[in-house]
Amino acid sequence: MTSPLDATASSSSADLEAVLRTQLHRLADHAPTNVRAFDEIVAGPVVRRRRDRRRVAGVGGTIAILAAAFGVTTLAVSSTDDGGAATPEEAVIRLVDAVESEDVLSVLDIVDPAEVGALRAALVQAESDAKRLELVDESFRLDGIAGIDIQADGLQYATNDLMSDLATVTATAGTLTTTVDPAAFPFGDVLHESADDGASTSTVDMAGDGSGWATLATVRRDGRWYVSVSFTIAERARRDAEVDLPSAAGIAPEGFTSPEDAATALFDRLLAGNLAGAIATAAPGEGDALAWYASLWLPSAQPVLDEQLAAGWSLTLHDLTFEVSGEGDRRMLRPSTYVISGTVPAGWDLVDGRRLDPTIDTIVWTSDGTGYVTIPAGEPIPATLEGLPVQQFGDEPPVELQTAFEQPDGSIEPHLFTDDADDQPFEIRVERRDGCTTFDAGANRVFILGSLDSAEAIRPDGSFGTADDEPASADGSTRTCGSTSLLGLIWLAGGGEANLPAVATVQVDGQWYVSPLGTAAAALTELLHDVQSSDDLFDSPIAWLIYGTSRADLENLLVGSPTAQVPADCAELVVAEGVTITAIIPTPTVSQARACYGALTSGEWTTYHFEGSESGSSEDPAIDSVPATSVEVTPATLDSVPPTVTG
Amino acid sequence: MTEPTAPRQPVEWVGSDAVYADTYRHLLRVAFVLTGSTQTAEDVVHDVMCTVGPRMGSLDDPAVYLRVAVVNRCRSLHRRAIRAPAPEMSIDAQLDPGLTELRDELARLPLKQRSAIVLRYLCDQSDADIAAVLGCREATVRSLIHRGLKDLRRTLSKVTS
Repeated sequence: MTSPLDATASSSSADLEAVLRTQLHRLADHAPTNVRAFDEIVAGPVVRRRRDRRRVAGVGGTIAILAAAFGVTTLAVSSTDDGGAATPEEAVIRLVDAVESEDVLSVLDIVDPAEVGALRAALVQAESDAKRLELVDESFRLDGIAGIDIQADGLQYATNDLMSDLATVTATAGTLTTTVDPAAFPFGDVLHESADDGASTSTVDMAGDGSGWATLATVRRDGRWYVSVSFTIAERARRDAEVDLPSAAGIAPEGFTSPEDAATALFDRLLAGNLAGAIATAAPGEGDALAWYASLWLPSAQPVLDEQLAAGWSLTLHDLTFEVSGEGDRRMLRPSTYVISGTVPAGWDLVDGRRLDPTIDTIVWTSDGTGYVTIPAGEPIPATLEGLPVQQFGDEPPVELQTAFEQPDGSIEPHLFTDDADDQPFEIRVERRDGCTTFDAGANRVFILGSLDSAEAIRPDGSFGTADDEPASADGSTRTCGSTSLLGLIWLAGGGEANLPAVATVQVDGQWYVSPLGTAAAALTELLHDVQSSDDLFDSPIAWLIYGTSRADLENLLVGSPTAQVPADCAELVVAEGVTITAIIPTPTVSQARACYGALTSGEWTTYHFEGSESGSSEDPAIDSVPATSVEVTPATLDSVPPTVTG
Repeated sequence: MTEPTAPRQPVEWVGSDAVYADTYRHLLRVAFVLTGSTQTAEDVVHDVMCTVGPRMGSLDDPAVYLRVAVVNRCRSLHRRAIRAPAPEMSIDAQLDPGLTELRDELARLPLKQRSAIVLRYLCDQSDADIAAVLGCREATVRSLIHRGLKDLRRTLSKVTS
């Protein structure tokens, strides 16, 4: 068995391990020795602990109320016949009272029955994954989150009847006080060591700063009033847009014979630019708000899509198969194989930054990140920066600029001015198979996969290598198999991978439909679901939510730097070969990662690092070869992506 | 708060009384080193035996299963103590000064680190076995032990000197 100290240390490591072994056995010798008879134990009365009842909780404001309200659905069997309320205002009052009094059944009864199923499924999934990933411990329960309390004082309401079966209720006065006690919150192993000790209380004045969240929409179902999540969201958007209520009838729902057919229809119609058709796949009841409010935005959105279709967009979906989970009247479908192919109009490859505006200056960053060269407007981008004056940080760059990058081999990333571009539509093909998504050269002109660390390029022999190892593929294809948050965002939060998003479906009256709330919730819950274990959190798309940074962030900032320049808060996180940092340890704690990232983004380290890089005073040559990413210290996670064209 | 229920049917230990006693004492040692308390160690092992005992006959390797259950039970108690700090855990064993310091240093380690250290150096478990107990990768086990040893180095150095 290899000593874990071998890698780092001193000649006495083996001695220390031997001492530890001896001392642990000596300590264990003080353990009790009273052996209870087996028969006595297993035949005795079972003493089962009864779980202490926890105080009900919420997070804050309306979100807290809704979270608690939906949370209880995880335990609910079904909504009872006497659920709901006689009036819209009573529904909201019952909701608030239920949260305050821990009356979980009453909370359940007051949420629109058409929405409860979708939210319950999402919350059950999220709760399970949060426990699996050790974000919360096993005692965590959505029907009573320890450590958070809500108290409503003096709430007064005003009801606004919008339709015969739709009304909004606004809290016009009163306060909602939320107390959060991290010490009592059931954090899992991943988070509890980093939790703050002190409790904090915040109060929202419904007539003041809380007024924006003080309106809930209620719907009438079978004569009873319920609080509706989807109508609350839609009404909020309508009021923000300052438009009148829809006057037209909503889009009629269209059912399918299987969950797969419903999900396939959704993707087919979206790819075909048929927004109304896509909305029609939404389940009746749960999709009522989407179907009805669509008439407010469809007339302006559809022509934009039609214009693009006319310009050359033509994509089709083939060979779509799903991984299906769930039971009863709900199924979650995760696309497992498919091919998207077709044509894309010219101009859509702008996103990869290869086209430049010749009417403004271009900044070409040097490959070592220590400065830049300004190419004046109208002049061609040179082949290399050799002989050109490099400006250092601190000089004032032009306000209106666009950027290009010098490559490590001295060449400049190929760029085209707009006038040079090929204006013909081009073909793309995206194929998902065996857990990986392959993008052909055309697709890579649309998606910026090649810049992602996890992207792999197809080598001439047909094998795959990482983009860093093999950036130039034989045919320009790349594929990705891991989590790539940036691409996940492009795919509308498709589970954090380069994949189509999961689709939640529901059966209503024998027909299958898309569950809009369930699908929207899945865009978030799938981010958790896709993380294999708590050890992978630091590498996952949600790392920044937990650690405030990620492995990619820290590696960008630290790898290649000399160990002598590492802030003390990062010392335990880095792996070094000689005097150069080569990696970040596999599983840093949240506290370690936060402290390190905080130190790296502080002004002190940035200044020190710049001085170290620029002075050239170090005897260690590694100090003078700090990569660009180690110098460009930026506070936000996605800012670690190099700057792109502006202006 | 407790809730007594009906007595269980007796179940026989698969193996000799001597093996049972050895297993029980080993579990007490693991629980004691993990918790630092004789009383808690006894409670942990008793609870585990109550829970696992009736299923003992169906287990391939009861001793290993029981050890995993004891470690998990200690982790569960640890979480509960963090969430709702109650009266301090009784430090009820009289130890030599060096051992007291080791026990206190162990108690300061995150429980996952502590468990990895105990499983490696008290139970002589491999990385793979520890990973299986703690539900993590072998690389994580090595990292846990590395960090744990680093934290314990000062205390151990005193002993060696």
